Amino acid sequence: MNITKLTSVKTICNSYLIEEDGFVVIIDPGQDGVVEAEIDSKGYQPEYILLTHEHFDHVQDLEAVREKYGVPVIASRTCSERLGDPRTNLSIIEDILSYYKTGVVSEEKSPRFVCREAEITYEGEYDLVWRGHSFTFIEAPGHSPGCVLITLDGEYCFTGDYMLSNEEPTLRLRGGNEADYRNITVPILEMIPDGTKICPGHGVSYTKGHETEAE
Amino acid sequence: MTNLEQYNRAFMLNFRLKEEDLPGLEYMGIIQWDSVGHMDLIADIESAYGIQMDMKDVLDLSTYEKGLKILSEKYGVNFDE
Ligand SMILES: [Zn+2]
Repeated sequence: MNITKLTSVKTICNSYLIEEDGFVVIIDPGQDGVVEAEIDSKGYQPEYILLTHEHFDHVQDLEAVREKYGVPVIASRTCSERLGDPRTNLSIIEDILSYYKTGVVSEEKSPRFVCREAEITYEGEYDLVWRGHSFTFIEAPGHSPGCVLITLDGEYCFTGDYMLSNEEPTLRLRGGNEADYRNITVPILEMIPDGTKICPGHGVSYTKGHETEAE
Repeated sequence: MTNLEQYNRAFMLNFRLKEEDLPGLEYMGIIQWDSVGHMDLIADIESAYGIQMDMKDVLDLSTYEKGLKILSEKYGVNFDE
């Protein structure tokens, strides 16, 4: 098994490809066509798209990727429902958000977009067995209502916008909820065992318990 | 709902205010209207009128009254109906 991290230029958002025998699972298709480019250059065959949450930077290329490869999308029910509105996938505020972060007014207006609902949705927890590997999904609201943590073989955790190496999660964007974060998500994050490889939606990956050795 | 009612509603719902609180309201003048509140306000105003504002106007919309002026002069929103 190989895990490749791909980072989009615009919002520095990480997508991941998990590869086994030329077949891949995509986690968060991201932006800027980075996922498509990698899949095509390696000749991979995608089988699933998994989403950590509904925010535009993680799903801007979702429709293009699912259209091109015809693969099912797996998302929490809440995430799935919130993909279909620019106010809940936050594509409506992309330009303001980027202005606040960079102080630069972008020349072009970003497109507001919607995505279709996921083919496979779940509430609470969900398990997927894929080519000898096991994915576990668990809902973790706070940053957004549709957030989940995705564990692979008990060894890797794809955390979306939680557990970024040097940043507290943002809880104040529309749909964010500090109480949900403290009451539901923090206890789940604390239960992730030391030694787990944390693969966040932005920034570097690291091993839990060895945060200083981030690579 | 008239255009003015929609405009007022965006402020009232986002910032939990009554209609009489709106005149004279300024960006950063109340705790709710900070940068995060501003993003939500603009998103609701843009959705209400089906427009996408220029960033310059987004930043210029710094009082309740300026918003009325920008929307009517630049985006053709009629508040006199
Ligand atoms: Zn996010």
